[in-house]
Amino acid sequence: MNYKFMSRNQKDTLRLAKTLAKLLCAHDVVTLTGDLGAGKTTFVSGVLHTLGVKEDVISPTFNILKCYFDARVPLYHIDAYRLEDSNKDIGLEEYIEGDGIAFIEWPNFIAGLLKIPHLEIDIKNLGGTKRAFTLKAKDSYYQKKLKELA
Amino acid sequence: MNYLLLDSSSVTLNVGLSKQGRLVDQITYPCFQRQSESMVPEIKKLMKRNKLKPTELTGIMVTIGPGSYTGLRIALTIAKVMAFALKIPLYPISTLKVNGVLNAPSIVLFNARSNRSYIAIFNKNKTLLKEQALPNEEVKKLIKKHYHYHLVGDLKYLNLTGEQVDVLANMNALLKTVKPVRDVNQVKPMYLKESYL
Repeated sequence: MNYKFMSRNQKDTLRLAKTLAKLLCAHDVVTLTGDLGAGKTTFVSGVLHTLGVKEDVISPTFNILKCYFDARVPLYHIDAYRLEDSNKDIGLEEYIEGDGIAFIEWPNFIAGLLKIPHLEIDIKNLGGTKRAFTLKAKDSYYQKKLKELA
Repeated sequence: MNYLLLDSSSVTLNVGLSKQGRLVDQITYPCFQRQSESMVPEIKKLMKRNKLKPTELTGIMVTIGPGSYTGLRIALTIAKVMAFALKIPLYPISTLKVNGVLNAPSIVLFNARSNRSYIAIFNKNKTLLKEQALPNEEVKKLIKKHYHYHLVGDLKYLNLTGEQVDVLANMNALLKTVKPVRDVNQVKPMYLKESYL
């Protein structure tokens, strides 16, 4: 099942993030794809702020993983960009199959850890502040969430 | 004879002090994914309230796995740095062994994720099944086969209830069975996952 959302600006994006955040619970896994500047981190920050996180959300490209323990549910923000071609396992499965929600940017670099059901979000930059969101759910658990979202 | 006992291989933070073979003090609490922030301050606290200087330590005992990837590295890194600086030996021990029921047959399990478990089977001081990562299907068969054994670990992921043991008491009891390692660089985590090597 696919759900498409046209975002005219950052405000629309944050509204979508807020709606999704309310549907997410512990053990959920969401992947984010889209070019640099597409708005992946902006989207995650919208989710985090809805879950009660006060601090500024920055991309974990350098750190690979950022943990937000003070969110309503622990949230793990993973950016696998720097794991490209490294073939290294650094224990990320403890977070992806952990006690919180996992958001994963550049999931193709850790495809081996994503054999479990998850929600896929793709963001396309349409120029200016316009973004096209495609949310894809292959299994019934996430399809149910998408139906609630739509 | 003062030994520091360290373990952060799983959800709990364990810091203990063994004196003349007795576990005289311990700090234990759930601290998953935050052990890196807490272990050094807790060691300091424990040493201070027992009026012990680092130079008075005889050795350091540490669990080397299997267990959490980052968790194993926390206790082991601290133990190695301290042992190296103080020129004292390390006492590395299997995480599964210290989680078993001593003096009784037991199956010890940890969630290795991706539908696998870390497992070992012990009977008293004998190892019946060496530490390894096995698919949960096989693990369930082994549990059935050894239904009369103690089953230890946080087994919610298998929809089972496991016993919990006092890890530090076990470490203290097993200390005398471990061969000290003087060259701390030799001690490596026992990950058991191919992809970690």
